[in-house]
Amino acid sequence: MTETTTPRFPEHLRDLDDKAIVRSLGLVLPAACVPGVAMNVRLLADHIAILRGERR
Amino acid sequence: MSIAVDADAVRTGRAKAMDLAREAIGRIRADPGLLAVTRCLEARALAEAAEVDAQVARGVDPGPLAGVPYAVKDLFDVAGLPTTAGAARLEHAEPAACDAEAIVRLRAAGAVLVATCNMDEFAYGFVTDNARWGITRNPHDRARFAGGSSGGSAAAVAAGLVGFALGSDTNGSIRIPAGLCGVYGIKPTHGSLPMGGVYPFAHTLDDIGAFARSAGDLALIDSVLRGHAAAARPLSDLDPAILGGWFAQNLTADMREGLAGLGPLPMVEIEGVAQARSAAFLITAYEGGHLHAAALREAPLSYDPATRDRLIAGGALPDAIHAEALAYRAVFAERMRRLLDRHGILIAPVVMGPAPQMADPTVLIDGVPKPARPNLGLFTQPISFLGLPVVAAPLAVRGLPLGVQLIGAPGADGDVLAFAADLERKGLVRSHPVAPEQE
Repeated sequence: MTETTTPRFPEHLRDLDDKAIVRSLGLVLPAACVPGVAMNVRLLADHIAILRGERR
Repeated sequence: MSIAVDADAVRTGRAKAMDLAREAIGRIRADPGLLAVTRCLEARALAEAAEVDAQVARGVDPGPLAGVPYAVKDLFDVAGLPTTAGAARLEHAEPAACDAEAIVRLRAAGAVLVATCNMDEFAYGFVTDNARWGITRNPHDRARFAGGSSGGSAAAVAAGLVGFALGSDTNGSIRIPAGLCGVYGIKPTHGSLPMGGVYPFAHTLDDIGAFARSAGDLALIDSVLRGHAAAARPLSDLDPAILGGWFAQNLTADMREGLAGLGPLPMVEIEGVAQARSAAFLITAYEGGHLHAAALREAPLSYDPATRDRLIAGGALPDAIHAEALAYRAVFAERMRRLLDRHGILIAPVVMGPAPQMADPTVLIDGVPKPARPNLGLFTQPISFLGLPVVAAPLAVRGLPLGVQLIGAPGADGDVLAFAADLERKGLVRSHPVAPEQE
């Protein structure tokens, strides 16, 4: 796993696919990690929205 | 039998610590299929037991836990052994130079360490599904999870392999396996028990605590770890209430009936629980992810995929989100303080119902099946988010175990322990021990 550009946590994910989510983190991951990391980023984005009262 | 009775027999020479240690080792060896124990520490246990018996022979009191065999979650340092934290990548790590402070205190009280226990890798999970050491089985139904992340410790106590065990709790990792395995567990006020030599996960939330088969045992172990008995207010000063709202949703019929069995108690609600749970989720992801960032950069494929992908995602969270989540704690803590000022004890389910089946590792949330591993903490995360003391106590119900959280104000560890003992005296909570299977 390596870092490329400045990481940016993708809080708004509607239009992003798994690879785009991982790219926006500034990470180059082994292919095996991409679906799981993307799924967990989506989960964390949901929790950010809940914390901010944007979603129940 | 209570561990105090066992210890008294050893202290007075009516029983030998060596015999208790050998019996515990025999039980562990007879039940490998439980997958609760990762290492049986026979040589160390027999040496410690011999030391206890020698003290008794010399007329020296070994302490209140004399000769009681116990186990620890595999994230406590044990001198001479690698501390794996449930990770295959640490199986051959540098051995710990000395014991964790909690183990030092237990040994000074005469307890005998016999085993290390299975856990979710790096404590990141609620089911004890470990890629290296397997899935710890629930002693009450081996097709079900024991809960986690301290599932090996809870299962070992429920199955009667040891007198008690230690675990750690960041988001529910003591309370959930205690509830699902039908034993007692305590998550103390944050920072009140020694964390020296404990592999960290999320430092603002991590605590250690014990599992036991009775409220009295739990209080005894807690007092040894704490260095004194936690002070308790008179029970008449407590006006317990049941938490409703968030904590009354998604419950199985069994859990609803179990809670009703505690008697006619007022139901209270607190605003902002969903935000509290999400804040705890984000703090954990951020702190755990940042703790492992360097190792994940170096060797991501050496982690269990289920842990790795969560940690990588958490490590990408910016500092501002962590700060935002921590800031919410003050808001939620003030609301909880007002409730606890009035009621002293708040009661909530540990999880929605009984242990999930391994063949169907989901829980129903708002009618939708969700993965159990990250979601069993729905009711525990908002509480440990505030660092409150909680005893998880097993309801006195038929069938599979169901646990309740008995929640106190910060520092009121003695109140929750005393309240658990009172419920036990009234027959409303009791442990569900089972005999270990012979294989």
